[in-house]
Amino acid sequence: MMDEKSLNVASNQSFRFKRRPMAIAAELRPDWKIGALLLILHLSSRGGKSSLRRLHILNWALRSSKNRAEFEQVREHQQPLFSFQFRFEPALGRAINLAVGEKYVEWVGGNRLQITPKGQRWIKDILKDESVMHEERNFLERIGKDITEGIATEMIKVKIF
Amino acid sequence: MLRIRHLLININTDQGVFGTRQDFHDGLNIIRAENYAGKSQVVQSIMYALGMEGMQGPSHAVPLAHAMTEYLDYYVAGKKLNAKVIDSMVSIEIENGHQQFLTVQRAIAGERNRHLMTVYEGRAVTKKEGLSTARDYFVREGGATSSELGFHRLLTDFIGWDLPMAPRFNDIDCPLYLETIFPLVYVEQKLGWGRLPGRYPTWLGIRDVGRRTVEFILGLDAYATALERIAVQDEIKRLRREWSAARSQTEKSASAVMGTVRGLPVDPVASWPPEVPPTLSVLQSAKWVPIADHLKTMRARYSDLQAIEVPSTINAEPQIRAELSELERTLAAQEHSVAALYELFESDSAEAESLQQRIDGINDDLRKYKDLRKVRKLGSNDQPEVVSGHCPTCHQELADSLLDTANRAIPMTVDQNVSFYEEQIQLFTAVHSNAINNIETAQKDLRARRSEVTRLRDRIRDIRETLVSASGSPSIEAISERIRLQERINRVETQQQMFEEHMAELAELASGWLEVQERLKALPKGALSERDQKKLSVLQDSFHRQLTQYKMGSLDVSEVKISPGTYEPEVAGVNLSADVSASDLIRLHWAYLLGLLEVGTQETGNHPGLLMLDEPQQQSVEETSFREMLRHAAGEKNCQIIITTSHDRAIDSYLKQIGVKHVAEFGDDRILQRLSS
Repeated sequence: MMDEKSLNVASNQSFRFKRRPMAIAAELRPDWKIGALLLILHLSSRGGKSSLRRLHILNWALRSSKNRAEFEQVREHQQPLFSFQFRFEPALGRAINLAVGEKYVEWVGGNRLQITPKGQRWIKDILKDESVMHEERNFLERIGKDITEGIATEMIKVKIF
Repeated sequence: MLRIRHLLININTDQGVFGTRQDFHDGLNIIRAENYAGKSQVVQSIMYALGMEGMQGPSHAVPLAHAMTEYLDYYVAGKKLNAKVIDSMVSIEIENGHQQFLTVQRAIAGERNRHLMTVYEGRAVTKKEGLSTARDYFVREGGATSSELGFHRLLTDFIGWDLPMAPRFNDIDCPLYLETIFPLVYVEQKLGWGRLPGRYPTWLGIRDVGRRTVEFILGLDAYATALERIAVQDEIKRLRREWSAARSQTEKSASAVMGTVRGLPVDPVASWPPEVPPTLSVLQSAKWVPIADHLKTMRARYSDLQAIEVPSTINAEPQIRAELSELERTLAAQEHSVAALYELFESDSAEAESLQQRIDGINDDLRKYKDLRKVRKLGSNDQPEVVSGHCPTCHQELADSLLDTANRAIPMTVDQNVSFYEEQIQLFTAVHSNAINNIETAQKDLRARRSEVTRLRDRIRDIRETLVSASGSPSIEAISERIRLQERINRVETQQQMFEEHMAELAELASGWLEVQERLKALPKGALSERDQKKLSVLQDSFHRQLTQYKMGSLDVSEVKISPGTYEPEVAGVNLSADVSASDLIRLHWAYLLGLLEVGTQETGNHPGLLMLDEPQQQSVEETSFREMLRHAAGEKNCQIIITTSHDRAIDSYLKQIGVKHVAEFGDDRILQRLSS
């Protein structure tokens, strides 16, 4: 049992708690995620356009070198489609909302997200420095625009059913 | 030091012999004549006689006027006549700092090979000295600076220079060729004044040619310092490499006897042996003991065994039975501790692995943050508004995070986050390397203990075999103990010897380390030594004084600095060649060359003390500035300055007034005149 005296604090002194800023992953910074989103639309989507589920798959693949490697193995048919176990990342949803607000992307036909000229300009500005998002860029350039909506649907189907 | 003493140009024509003779003295020499009289030909032929035309480009054409190569105009009673050149040559007498003379003769036109110089030891032209010492040297061909018979090698030795090696762009290092040094000695009229500080030849492919040349002329330590710095760094790298090689060799020889080395510094140290000298220990009855003690114990046991006869099985029995049960107990204990140790090793390995994953993860995140920082610093026009902390749609405050916004925790700023990660990496790396250390120690321990377990088992087997053998036969365990012991002693002795050798090697490396640390300490902090800085500040002072004297107009004098990087004049933010008026560029040029002459002729400099300026009054520099320059040049000591000018004859009285004794006044005459008919 804790006795008040054992705290060894004068009774007239009050405690103050100060909230310290919290470290968060770079992934969770809005501009990083928006950048990744635009990168996917810019480098790996036909017509700069993609469905939400396809974005979720590529976003997951992009997140770490481990995910990238798994994704590529699936893509090169070294492993069956379902072995790429991806997750829907809630942060991507928020990033998409912000990106729509920033007018970098817009919804077309109700279910496709398309990059806007403003989004193009910003991503091109970023890409001028070759070192920025180097690994992500290499990965997306490598897979190019080969991941079609069809393949994306297959990947999700296997996952869900 | 180099001085020109006499020039003879000799032109044989179909109309007789033409040419000129000129004496040159210490101090200021002025050659005054009208335009077209051939002043430039005088200085240009001196350069030609020194084989220095390569400073103006890679061409092998003779850089002299047609008067010396093809035809020559001359006047008889006001009538212009024409003489055809048959052959021509130039001879100069030069002197060095030891009052030695050379006469150099080179063909201009005619049959004789123009790459050959005939050199006489002495004043062959004016005093007919050394006529029997004629020897041919070559110029403008590979090896002219290095070969025995290269004229530039001879000239270099004569001046008393020790040319530094200079790095080239696409080639191996070469000596700093004389052609690169002479642009600071001779300014040619037509192209020489156009660029500050000089037209260095680029065709030789020497890197930083201007810097190397000024360093040499002023005798700066900077280049030697830079070389020494590289050498020191290479030596440090080598010592580190060899140290770590010796260290791993030591470890290897230790592991050959299942031993472990303690107190061996990971990085090279300067004092050897360290306060706690490195030891090689081996496991003996579950305790680590120094190898020497272990050897002593084994030798004692061996000589004990030698002293007694091998007992028969029956005699040995009671004793070895007792020993057997003791050994079995020890074995069980040892096996138990091996198992415990193995568990520890496993858990340490797992920890190290997870730490490594953690570090990799943070490193990847850190990379992303650094990218993010670059992107934010870029500040693109199209940058997202959310970065400034506002929602792009409703413009309310928004945290810099994609985490669930219901949780109102404030994220760190990007910079805070980066330094937070950097600290984390530091911490985890330290913990990780500690874990790796533990793993290595555990590995050694395991190996040693396993080998002890094997020894115990061998001994137990020997005893058991003895107990079941015929009672009269000699005890097997007693014999095999002797054999095993002998063998182990041999092996341990060998490794002990190797350990000593490795220690001797490390001691040697340590003394090398001490030496290289001292060399490192002796290096100046920056690129320039104290002496260098002093020289450059003297140069800058002289430079400033002169510019004030010459009344430079388009710049504030105090703004012009001698750059500590290139040693050339510079003004912050101004391209001197483009932004300064043409006449000021000429003033800067004068002041720089005269300044180099003053500083470079001091004790530790390499300036030859010779300066030849062809028509320095370029770009209509004001009369007063030109006169001030002449006054300044006349005041220079320990040098020879040759200036040609087509200034009107009024300058003669001014020259007399400032004390210039050596003025060659040609009036309206041509310099190349009929020598004899």
